[in-house]
Amino acid sequence: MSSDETERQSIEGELLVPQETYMLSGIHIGTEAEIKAMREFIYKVRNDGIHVFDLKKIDERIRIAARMLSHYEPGGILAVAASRFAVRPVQRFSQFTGAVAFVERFTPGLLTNPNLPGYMEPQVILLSNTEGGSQVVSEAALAGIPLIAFCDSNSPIDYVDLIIPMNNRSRKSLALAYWLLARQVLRERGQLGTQEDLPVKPEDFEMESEEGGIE
Amino acid sequence: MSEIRPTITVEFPICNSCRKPITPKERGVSFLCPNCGSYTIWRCKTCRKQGTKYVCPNCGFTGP
Repeated sequence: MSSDETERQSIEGELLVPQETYMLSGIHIGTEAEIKAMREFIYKVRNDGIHVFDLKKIDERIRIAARMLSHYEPGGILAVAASRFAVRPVQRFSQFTGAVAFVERFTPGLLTNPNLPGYMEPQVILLSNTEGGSQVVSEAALAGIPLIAFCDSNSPIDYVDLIIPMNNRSRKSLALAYWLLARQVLRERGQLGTQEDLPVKPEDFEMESEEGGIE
Repeated sequence: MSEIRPTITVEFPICNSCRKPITPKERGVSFLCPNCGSYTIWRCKTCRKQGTKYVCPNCGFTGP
């Protein structure tokens, strides 16, 4: 057995899913631009200038985010989809974890104006994209609500309390990340065994191309 | 005879990043450490805006 293969197997033993599953979803592919705060999660820069995330760090952050979410009541978690491909993953995530899903256009004041119909007071927010969800970010800052966000290599991290570094533009990577997060939250709560899986596959979290959603 | 007034001492929470007290008017945030869940981390608005790192004194977790 070659040393590369041994190293790969030892890494796979530590990861939540096999390395190939991560690679096939493209969760590690960043953008050409990077911001300083995301530099610690970057593994390397490819020849074409694309930043590649460290899979171990993605894995570790998903575990930590799940641990953080398990500290809150299911109804106190607000999962917001800020891009088209995050709609279905967010809906499926809330279906399994009991979190409140928000997949429509975010009306300003929903977290800060008590007179507004549909006013919410979540304990923690899980955001799919900080660029698309800038209104959610600013309202979470005003209301003093902890914010967990999926951040790409060029995503702004203002007011984010826990970064999950990953490719947040791809359909497959968002599906895999929400699937892993849902599974890990249930494991942390004790609703799933440490080796048990969700009854559905990551593909079931995937947004279909014909489905509508917020742009 | 002078009246002795009771004194009240108010302790503000301290920001884990900059070590400054967070006043009630300031929109800070508090949450349990994402890693260990046994220590309450406080972050002031400025540190949240700038993305300043915080460290959990209990488990050593560094965020965000």
